[in-house]
Amino acid sequence: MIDTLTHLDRLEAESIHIMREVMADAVKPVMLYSVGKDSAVMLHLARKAFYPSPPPFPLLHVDTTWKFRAMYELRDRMAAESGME
Amino acid sequence: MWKTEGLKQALDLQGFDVAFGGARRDEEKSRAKERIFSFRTASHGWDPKRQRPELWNLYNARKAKGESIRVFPISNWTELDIWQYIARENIPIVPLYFAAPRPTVMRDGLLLMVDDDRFPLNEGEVPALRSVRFRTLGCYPLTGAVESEAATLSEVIQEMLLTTTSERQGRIIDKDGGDASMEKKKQEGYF
Repeated sequence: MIDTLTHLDRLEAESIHIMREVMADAVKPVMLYSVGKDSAVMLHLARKAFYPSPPPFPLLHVDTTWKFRAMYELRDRMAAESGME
Repeated sequence: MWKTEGLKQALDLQGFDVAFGGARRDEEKSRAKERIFSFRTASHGWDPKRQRPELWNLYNARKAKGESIRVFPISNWTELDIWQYIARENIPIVPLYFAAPRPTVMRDGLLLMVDDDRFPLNEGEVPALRSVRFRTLGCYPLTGAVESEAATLSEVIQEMLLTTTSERQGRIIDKDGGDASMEKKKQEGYF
């Protein structure tokens, strides 16, 4: 059902275009990763944009040490899966 | 405030010139007028009046000396798009986004979850079990939950279709008084 929603394809293409455009000029890029749903989508898009290589930048999590416990678990798992720092 | 300072320090320490962020226009009004390429001064300040035009999808990524850029590749996505994409692509997310019975207290109009024994309870507050989920996640003593029965992706999408409020209404951090919204925090270097 959800597979037919082409507006998601357009949004995906736009985001991937932006990421590749940035890489053309960036000297030392970084991706802010908050472990939220938006970060999850952004990381997923980055992995698509540069596939089969891992994204050419590290992830930065600004940890206030007051995040929910479940957030720390997912963060560590995603860093390992994506092969990113 | 911690988050803004920590962010600026980390960017300076490593000398990052470009930082991708996951902010979206539909979250909050000062993010609504943000560009996709947001230029920041050497001290990370944001001047809403000194941003560049973005015509169609032509972006100007050239930086002046000392400037850095925050880039928001999912700026045009709505909260609903995010959920539909998470469902379509099977993206793992924190279970806190789904409704479950959780110990909560009501404080200043916000529903706060008691995540562990570090949570500072006020006198007379007794955590009550409510079925809640989070639309947005920050630091847990400051992020409000919403009462919800949506425990699966399709139920969350259904709830999204019927909602009339912004997700960031659950964040204490966004309330800096009056109509200033997040604009003040952004000028100080938040994203």
